[in-house]
Amino acid sequence: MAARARELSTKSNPEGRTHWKRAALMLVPGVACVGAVVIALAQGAMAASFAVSGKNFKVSADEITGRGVSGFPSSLGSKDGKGHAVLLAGIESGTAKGVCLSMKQRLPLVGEVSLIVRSGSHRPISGEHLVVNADALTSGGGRVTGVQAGRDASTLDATPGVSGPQGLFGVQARTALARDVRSTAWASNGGSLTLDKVEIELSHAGKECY
Amino acid sequence: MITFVLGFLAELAKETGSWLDRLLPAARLRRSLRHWRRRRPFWAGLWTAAGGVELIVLPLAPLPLMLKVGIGAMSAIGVGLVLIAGGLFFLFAPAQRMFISVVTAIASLVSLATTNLGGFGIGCGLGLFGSSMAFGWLPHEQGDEGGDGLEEDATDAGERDEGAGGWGGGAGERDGGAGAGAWGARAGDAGTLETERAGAGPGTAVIALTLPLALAAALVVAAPAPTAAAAPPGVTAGGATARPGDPRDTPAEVALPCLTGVDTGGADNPAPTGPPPSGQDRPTPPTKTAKPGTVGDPDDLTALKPPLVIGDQPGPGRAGYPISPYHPTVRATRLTATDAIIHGATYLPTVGGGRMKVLWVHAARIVADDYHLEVKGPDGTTHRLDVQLDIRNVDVYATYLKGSVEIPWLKVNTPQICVGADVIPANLPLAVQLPELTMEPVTASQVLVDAADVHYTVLRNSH
Repeated sequence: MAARARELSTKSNPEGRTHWKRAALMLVPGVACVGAVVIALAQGAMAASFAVSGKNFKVSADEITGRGVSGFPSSLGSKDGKGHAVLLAGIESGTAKGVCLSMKQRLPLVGEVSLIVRSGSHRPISGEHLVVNADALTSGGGRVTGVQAGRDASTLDATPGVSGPQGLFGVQARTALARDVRSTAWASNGGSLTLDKVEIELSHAGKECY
Repeated sequence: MITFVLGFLAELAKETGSWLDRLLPAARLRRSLRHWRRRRPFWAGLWTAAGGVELIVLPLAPLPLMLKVGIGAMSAIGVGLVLIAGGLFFLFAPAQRMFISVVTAIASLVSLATTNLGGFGIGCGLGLFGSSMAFGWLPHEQGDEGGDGLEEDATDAGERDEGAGGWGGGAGERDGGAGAGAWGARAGDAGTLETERAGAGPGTAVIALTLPLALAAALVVAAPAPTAAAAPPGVTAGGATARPGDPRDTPAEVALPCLTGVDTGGADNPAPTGPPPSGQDRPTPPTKTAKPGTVGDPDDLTALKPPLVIGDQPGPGRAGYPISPYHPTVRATRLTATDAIIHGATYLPTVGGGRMKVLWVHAARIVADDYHLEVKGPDGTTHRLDVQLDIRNVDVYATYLKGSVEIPWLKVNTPQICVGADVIPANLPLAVQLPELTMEPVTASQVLVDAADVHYTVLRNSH
């Protein structure tokens, strides 16, 4: 036993440990970079890219405009193997005013925590090549132009890259404007979002966007 | 004060470690695993790989969709794979840790801009933390090595003291050997290093271990949450309101033929007269000609050619893009069309080269109250849409229309009439223009709506 241990320890890979001062050489500049990027994102100087999903992912906006909008019914695979019906909507480019995004999460020890992100209250945020899988979608009102509702989903061409399987009911529009939008998004995969001032709030009281 | 607390924590961790070591079975196996673990930046690799997995798991979108969306979604996979590969390198090729740790640290920083703010900070943080740990990992000096071996030789108890995690970081390290060049200089103080390692080491180890573990646990708890599919409250109620509950809304039905799916013939679609209201996709003229005397097959784009075609189609041109054969059923409690042009029946192409015979109505304006749409999704679930509509410059195509027409001036409703596209020969050289047409309630199998301008209020979409 003792001989074996000695033999192992003298192999080409000697034992070692993490030297924290040495680790700090990388960690400290790294964290500084993270801080710089976060500030740049919050100031809208840099575009962030999103791809998120989840049940408790709620989005609301005062006003959304979109150019090149297409959508079709779709389903997302869940962990239980059952598909979850969603409306898949693609937007080529768009802006949004008064956006709120909230996530409610149950954390161990801490309990229920909701993260609320608000942006675009002063200046609308803009995004490109967004794909949203909306579960429940409501809107107070709006206007859509150049509508084709019933087009085969495989031939949708309003949003480049977003088209569905053949034979499926598809909708597309040249422009869209929607007010008081509320949606439970299941997944949103974005090209890029240019944010305005971002307010991030952590709430213990189960506060959400709506 | 802080050193005292840290020392106490370290002592506590040490005690817990040795207690655990006595408690757990398979001492030999664990000893060899521990030995393996100490010869590489094990935890650094683990956290880096965990960060990569988190970045990949978070989008949870089906892969084909992510491929379609392009660089935004793909970067999650790309950065995640870099972190996982880096973590595996730390574990299985620790000699290359310097370069790999720089790569993974940069990848973690990149993820912040490209992937959900670095997986909401968790993946980016784990990746950066793991990379830094790997960067800081150094093998013991030769003297140190010997001491370690001797200790293992001497007593099992001595080894148990380190059971909690001798890998760990000596936060209390005082000799500041940041660079690799410090090895030689430090060869002498192996003894002091050893005591420090046994003392402060496990304490830091526990802290360093629990923090990412808590994060990982949060992820694990969060991940199954979506399966408990949230039925959106209150949306199903919206669907019910659109249904006419009043018995007066369903007057006596006139059994006019309301077949669908049977093509009773008609003319070929005439040459296009212009783009449809939505302003896109000029229709392509039909290529096949009709065979007189045979009834068209629903999948056949040819039709009987009438002996005479007079005049052009008024209004905008027919939609020329392919339609979906799985069309929704719609209904509205009241539908008012202004300046309606009833074209009769026409054909719309489907993707497979087939066609569908549909009724074609154009209107300058359609106002639909409590419009309700139901369409089947790919997995058989029904998608519903409830909305108040006000549409300008619109073409509506439907396989059948059912409703009671309000007779102008008299304000009396006819019995409910059902008109199917099949009873009308396709592309008759006529069009009927009505200044106003009101139907209430109305049900239709709506194949296509092609509109220039849609105003809506109170939209609700549900499943």
